[in-house]
Amino acid sequence: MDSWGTILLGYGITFGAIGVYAYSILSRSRTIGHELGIGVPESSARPHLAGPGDLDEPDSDRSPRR
Amino acid sequence: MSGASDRGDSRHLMTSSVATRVLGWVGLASMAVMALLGLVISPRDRIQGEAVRLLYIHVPTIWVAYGSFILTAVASALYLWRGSSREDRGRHYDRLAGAAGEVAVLFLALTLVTGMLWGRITWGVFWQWDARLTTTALMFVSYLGYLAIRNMPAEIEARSRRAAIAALLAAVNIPIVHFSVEWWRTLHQKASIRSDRNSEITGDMFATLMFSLLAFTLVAAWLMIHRYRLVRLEEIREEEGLALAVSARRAEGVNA
Repeated sequence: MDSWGTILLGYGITFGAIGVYAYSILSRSRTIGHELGIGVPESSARPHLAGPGDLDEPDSDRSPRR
Repeated sequence: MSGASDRGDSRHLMTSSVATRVLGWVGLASMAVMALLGLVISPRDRIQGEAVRLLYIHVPTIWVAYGSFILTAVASALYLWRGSSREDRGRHYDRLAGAAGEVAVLFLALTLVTGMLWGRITWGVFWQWDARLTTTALMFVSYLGYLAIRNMPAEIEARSRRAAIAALLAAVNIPIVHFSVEWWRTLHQKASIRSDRNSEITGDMFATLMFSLLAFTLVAAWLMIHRYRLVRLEEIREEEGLALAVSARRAEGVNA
């Protein structure tokens, strides 16, 4: 491998590893945020974390259909 | 701090905020400029040739790793010294130590990899058991042990205390690694930047290295802030899971 190939490999590994690590942190925090209903719109929150008021929503899909 | 109170200020819990977004974009732009400077604009070295371009990623990664390990040690010492007297039982210090430790291990791994690649060009081999390389490898292994302790299943305060003691023990190696090139005869070159004005690097190469240090520091700070907030989210999820389990158990008791 010539020196340019090795240099580019070094830069690629460095930027790649930092990028993968950053992505894993953001992805995990988004997953946990959704689980806890933090920082997501109320409509996207998981059902078990939604407040009881949601069940009484008149326009909810749970309303009896005629 | 309880999970319920943490849920109250949910904006602070998100790993993303306006400040961290700005920091992230500035860090990303700095890395792009750094790559341009390091790979295109900075001149080739008279002795090392093109291989000197690895300096601009090798030195900043160890710089960030040293800084983060020192932060881990300071936060761990504060956890042991003042943690119990704080309202949050030292959780802030413990999270900070953990986040900094993990980021440090990432950057130290990159130091080892880029150093091996540089060694392949200049020495003809990836690895030599000289003092600098050996002590750096030992430091890497010791901090892997630190992260393993942090992830061991145990009661949270006991785990944090053990991890803090391990971080302080591992920190002893930081000056040994740094001064190994002065204390022993090594294949590894001496420090490129010195405080005695006898730096081996000057001009455009010096400016590129300084800019690279800044870019890597910004990115490391961004990673650390996000990792800290992720630890906090994980703790809240653990507490919520426990609270749900307790309430389910109570409901079982009422129905029985």
